[in-house]
Amino acid sequence: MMSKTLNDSQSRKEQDTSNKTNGVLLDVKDLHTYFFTEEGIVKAVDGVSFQINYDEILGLVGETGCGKSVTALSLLKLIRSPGEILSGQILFDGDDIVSKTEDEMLKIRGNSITMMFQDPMNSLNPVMKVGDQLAEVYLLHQMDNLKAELIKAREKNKRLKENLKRMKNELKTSSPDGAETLKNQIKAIKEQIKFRITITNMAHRESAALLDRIGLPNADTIINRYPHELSGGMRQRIMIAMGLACNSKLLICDEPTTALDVTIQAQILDMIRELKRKLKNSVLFITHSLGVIYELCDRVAVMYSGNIVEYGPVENIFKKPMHPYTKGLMGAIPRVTKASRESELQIIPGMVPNLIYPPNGCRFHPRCDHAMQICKEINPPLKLMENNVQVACHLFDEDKSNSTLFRKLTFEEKQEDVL
Amino acid sequence: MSLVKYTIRRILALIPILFGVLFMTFIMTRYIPGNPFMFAIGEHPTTSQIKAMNEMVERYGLNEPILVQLWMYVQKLFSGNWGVSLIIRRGTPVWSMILDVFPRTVEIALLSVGIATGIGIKAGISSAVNRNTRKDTFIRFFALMGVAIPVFWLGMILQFTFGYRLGLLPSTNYFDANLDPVPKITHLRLIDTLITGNLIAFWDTVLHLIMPVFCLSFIYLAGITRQTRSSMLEVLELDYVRTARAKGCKEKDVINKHAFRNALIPVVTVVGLGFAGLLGGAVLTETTFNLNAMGMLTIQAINSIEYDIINATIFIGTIILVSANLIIDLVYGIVDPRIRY
Ligand SMILES: Nc1ncnc2c1ncn2[C@@H]1O[C@H](COP(=O)(O)OP(=O)(O)OP(=O)(O)O)[C@@H](O)[C@H]1O
Ligand code: SF4
Ligand SMILES: [Mg+2]
Repeated sequence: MMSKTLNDSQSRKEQDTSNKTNGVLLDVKDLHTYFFTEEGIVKAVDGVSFQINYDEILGLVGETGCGKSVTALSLLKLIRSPGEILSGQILFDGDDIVSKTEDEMLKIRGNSITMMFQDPMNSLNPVMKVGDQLAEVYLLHQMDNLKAELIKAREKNKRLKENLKRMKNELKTSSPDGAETLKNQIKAIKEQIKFRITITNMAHRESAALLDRIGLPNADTIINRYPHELSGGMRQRIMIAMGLACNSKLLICDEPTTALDVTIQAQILDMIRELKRKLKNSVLFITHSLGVIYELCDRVAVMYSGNIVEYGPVENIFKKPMHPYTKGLMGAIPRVTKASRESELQIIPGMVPNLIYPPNGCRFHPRCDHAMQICKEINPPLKLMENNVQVACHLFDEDKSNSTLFRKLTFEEKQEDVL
Repeated sequence: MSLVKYTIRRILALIPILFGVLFMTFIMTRYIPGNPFMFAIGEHPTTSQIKAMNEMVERYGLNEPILVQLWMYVQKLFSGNWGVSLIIRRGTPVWSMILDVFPRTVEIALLSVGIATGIGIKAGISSAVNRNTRKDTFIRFFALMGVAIPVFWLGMILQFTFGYRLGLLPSTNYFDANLDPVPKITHLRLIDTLITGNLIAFWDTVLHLIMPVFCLSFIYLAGITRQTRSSMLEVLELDYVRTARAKGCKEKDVINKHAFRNALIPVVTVVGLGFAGLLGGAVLTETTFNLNAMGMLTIQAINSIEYDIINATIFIGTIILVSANLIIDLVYGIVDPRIRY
């Protein structure tokens, strides 16, 4: 407990100096989200602090089960029992989300903050056409645009009808050979005229257009299908479309590209980037893939077992990862070189810790090559390094004079804490 | 198209089942020792009574070998003759007896299931949404009572209170026999009285039906509420409900538009089978309120081993049950697009 508060207050001061960009959109302070299950308390998010600036993409990376999705869900207050946000603040534009009521959250979800979910198989409603699910977003959040579109469409319809009338009159007076072409023209116009145009039609049209833009062929037919009639990749793109359609200030993408092949993945990343450029909104991008982080993000937070262990600009961290866990993650990226085909992929030894009984001190210590006595006792706070990167690791403590504390642990000593 | 094909296939598959049931009931009733006339004349018949009985047995071919009788029965059935009553209303065609009572059963079943479904679904949803609150506890308490209370006991309490003590409602019969007869157009008394503008008879039937329908809907309500609650609770935990919330859907839409339709399938089963069960006759309720509908006819027929009536009621009950199953399966397909035939 001690170490967590220390962690927070220290990192806070340092972050304030480190973010020189144009202001903070989202400021998460010492967030704790626990699940009170029958087996015990799952400390899924345990003292996480980070910030997202305006017009920035922050990557969140970490092994499976380290609490990435729970962090994201907390930002929308979508944690359901037995889970609970125990403490901490989530300041969005200076407004604390944690203290908001469910009614107030309705105005935030989809409007200010949107989330694309990780699992496209289960995240779409199986008994609703995907077009309806997508159109719902437009109807909820872009009513003004839709109304404008509706007026335009109705005017066009009216013009078409007037044209039709005029042509029919002409037909009565025209010569027999001119009549043939006129008749064809009339037929073409008739096809374009709609009997009635509703706001739902507009929402469907927008949906189809969006699907088209994110590279789904035959968008017009796809909007009339049910989720089970689509492939995993198609479903994932529907999810992405739902996120993009919201146009919100903060877009949370929870591994949106995992089920997609590389080409589509690249397209989606381009879209997110483009959207960001156009709307100047911010993105929290959750992924397992460091490659995607490198391509897309401005800054990255590396998460391990409910804590953020390294946090800073992408280039700096990729150039010189400092936390042993980050180093391990980098080592686990397959590289397409001749040497790498011959050498084995480096894997971080050991298991992801159990979040009910996490190891004391630094949660990574049972798996860390550099683990020291102090690592077992004190969870290291995030500490600002010279290249604007923050790291939570005792290797970077300034005062290492206490030799008992900074003695390296043996393998057996490291395993003592593992359950 | 495939839906039509599927339905036809299912209906064809029903034919052997129906014949099986018909043969089984026929043979089983004939194996009951004695015959209807023997029951009618009692334990110490006079010789003339025995003689009369034997004549009757001869006349109706009851001493022929069983398979011969079955053959005769099937022939009769296919020429549209369901037999005649031998004892209860001697000489009356079975078909017209059923036509007398079945519409009553339909009326009672429609009302009870309709009311139970309407209230049960609302209560179940509300119970699930307000899980573990006082409202939930209250609703679950009533649902549990519906399961635990025997329907005839509830009926008797109601009769005692509203019929006998307060004198507000008639406690027995389907309608007041002193009223002028109502022409049978649809055979459903509530509708016939309305069509002919006979509001007195209409109101009289309504009053007679209040208590029995209350009893039956109370019992069915319990099952529907519990089923709706549990399947709503399941669905509300699912990811796509979270997606709907994340989109900013209002809670009302999350529940009615996204969750409820997904929770509907098990509810359809409970409602459908409940309805089928009621159409077969609600023996206890009918007896308590002396309604004289399908259930009572079946019991009377069994008590006096009226072969043809037993066969007919069981046959109709079977048809209702299998059709209900078919309809339930078809409704599944409407509710859930993943189910295809
Ligand atoms: N509803 C829940 N009830 C109990 N525990 C939960 C619940 N949801 C998540 N957890 C736990 O919280 C921890 C963090 O889960 P989370 O989904 O955030 O992982 P993640 O980092 O997103 O992993 P992945 O990369 O696989 O998506 C896990 O240990 C998980 O078991
Ligand atoms: S704090 Fe200690 S155990 Fe944790 S990463 Fe640093 S050296 Fe390893
Ligand atoms: Mg996740």
